[in-house]
Amino acid sequence: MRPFTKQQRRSKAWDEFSSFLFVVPYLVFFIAFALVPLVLCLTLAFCQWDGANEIEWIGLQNFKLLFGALGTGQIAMEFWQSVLHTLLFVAIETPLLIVLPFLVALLIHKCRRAGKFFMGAFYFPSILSVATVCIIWYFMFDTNAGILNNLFKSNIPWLTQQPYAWISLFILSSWWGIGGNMVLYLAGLSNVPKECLEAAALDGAGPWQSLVHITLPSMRYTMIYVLMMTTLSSFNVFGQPEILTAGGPDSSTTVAMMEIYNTAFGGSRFGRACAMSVLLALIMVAFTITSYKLQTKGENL
Amino acid sequence: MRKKCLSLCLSAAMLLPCIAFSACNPGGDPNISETGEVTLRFWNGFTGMDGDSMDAIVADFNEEYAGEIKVETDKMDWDTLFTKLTTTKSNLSTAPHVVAMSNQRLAGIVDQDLLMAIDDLPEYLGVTQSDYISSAWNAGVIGGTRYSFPLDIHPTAMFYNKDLISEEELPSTWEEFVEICVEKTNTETGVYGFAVPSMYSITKDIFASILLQNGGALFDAENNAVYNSDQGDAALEFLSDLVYTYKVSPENVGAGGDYTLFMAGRSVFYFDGPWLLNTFDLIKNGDTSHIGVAPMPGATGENGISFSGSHQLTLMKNTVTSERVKEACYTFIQYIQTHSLEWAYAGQVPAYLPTLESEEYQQIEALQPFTQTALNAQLGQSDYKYFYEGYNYMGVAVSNAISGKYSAAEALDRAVRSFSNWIIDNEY
Repeated sequence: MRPFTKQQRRSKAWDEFSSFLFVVPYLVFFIAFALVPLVLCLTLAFCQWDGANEIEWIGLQNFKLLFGALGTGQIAMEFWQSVLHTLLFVAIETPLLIVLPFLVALLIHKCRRAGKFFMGAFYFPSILSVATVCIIWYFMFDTNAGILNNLFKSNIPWLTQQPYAWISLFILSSWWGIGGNMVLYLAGLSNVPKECLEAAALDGAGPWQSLVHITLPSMRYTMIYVLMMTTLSSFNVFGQPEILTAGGPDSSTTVAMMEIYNTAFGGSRFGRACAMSVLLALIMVAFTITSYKLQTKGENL
Repeated sequence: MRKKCLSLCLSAAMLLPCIAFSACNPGGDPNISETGEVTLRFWNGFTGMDGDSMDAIVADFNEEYAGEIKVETDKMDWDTLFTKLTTTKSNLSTAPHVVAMSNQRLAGIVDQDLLMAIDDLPEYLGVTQSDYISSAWNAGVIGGTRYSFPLDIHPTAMFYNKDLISEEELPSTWEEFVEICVEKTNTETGVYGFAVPSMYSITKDIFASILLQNGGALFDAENNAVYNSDQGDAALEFLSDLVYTYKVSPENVGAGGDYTLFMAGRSVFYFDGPWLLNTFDLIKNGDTSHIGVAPMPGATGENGISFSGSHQLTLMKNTVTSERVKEACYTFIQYIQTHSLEWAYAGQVPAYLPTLESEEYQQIEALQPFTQTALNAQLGQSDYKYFYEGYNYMGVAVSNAISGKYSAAEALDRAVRSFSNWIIDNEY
């Protein structure tokens, strides 16, 4: 084989360099807005910092405080309670946001004619901001002058007593979240091989059998993606309880993100807030890995 | 060759944002030159209709001092303001010089070493304590040093629906208040005396006022939370009795639920601050409105007390670094003070007494109930850095008692215990 000429070598080097240039903008933003904050957060978790003055290295103190090994345990209790509330939200909201959009997508996929209208109708809430959604539902849920209680002639304390406050948050979050996942499912449904469905129909499979044995397995990867994304976004729940219930009644809907936010920005304890974020992130990672393992069990990926 | 040109162009296009990105960061301290116009950045959280009045004052100031001083206003909600304020040390090019803030947040910001001592400001303005509502004046002094200057006081007053109650029937004590509420409550028509919100909001301010009127205190001289005293228990029991014993309020009124019912003509009274005067259009068209306003019961008269907040003006230590800038800030504050009538039209009670005594001010009828209340205002411990947190724990207790979760005494005891533990933890 002939060795490369000088010109060919230069052109190859340029090609490599220019392809690198294409990723530079992404890299810059990734480093500036993801990597640097991540490293900063990990470092600050071992520091004390009020946002204005010198950063002081305090070792494991933040973590000891959060595990109740220091102090009275009040802050530890408030933090873990908020984590529990987040876990409750994840445990109920994630399945809702996985099953409901699938059913909706299935219906829309089946009825072609009205499908477009319903697709728009169900997708519409997802383009609204969390503040807008909360204000809309606030007028629906108000106990004494709200639309829901007026409509059903009921007297349900939607936002001021448990378990209704949680139920309100689930209703709102589901209404808001169905559209996004529905679109992903619709894309997945249109990729289910038609020949398999036809073959199954010829073999006498009913709709239920086709769904269980063909549609669902074909949509495995869409499902995994939706599961992961929904779980992670459920962990990050913040706006809904912050605006709709302000964490009440009696802090029962104060979720972890609210506790972290208040510690950092209300209380100016950035180090402790970072330690809280690290702990929450660890829980999220554990959750994600477990659910991924369970989903892909027995497969070589 | 063509391909090469194309890749070169694309690479250049991709690099552009990076270059632009790096060019956006001027960095460094924006030292204001020794001569020429001084530009001041003024941050406040007046995002409602009051913000328009403040903007008008600033615009007039800029016109009058054109070529000498220019004030640039940055409005944001209060939470954002305090969030951004803590990080201003590292970015002086956008940091403010003058900041308006609530007296309740003052001590926390002083604790972060962000504010400049302004002991010589009263002398510069040629004013003394006797020119100001004393509670607002004193709120700016922390540990013997003045860090802020009073702008206004915003007490809670009682709005009422003129279709449901006449002026003669208005209560001036809480006993009369209960009586008239019982009389006006009609479950058939769905009209209540006063919808007590069980979520935080205004209820904790009403609770604090009744507690102070009962002779109690929120914090003692050593800054220990003492709102679980007998006076506190009685105040909170009174509020929860409105819901469960006298039944003049529906149960489970959420945050804002009181406003919704009042606007729907389903409650006689509604409590809120003076900023609502413009929302209800009471300053200009008070006579024709079906909504009236009166002082909170127990807030006026010789022994009247109301728990209130006060907006204060502060100077930031890191940006006000030269005498010239400081003088510009002082000139600006002086201008706001002498033009505080404009601020009154925004629906605020200026803390400057000559304004309150002026004929024009006294013609603003809707503000007078607030003014009477403001003169008897108590502002809580503005010099205690955990006041805001302690007040919030108290808010949870008030909410828990009104929603029926705990008895008044138990709710308050729990709040004091949690808050005391939280302080110990927070010091780590």
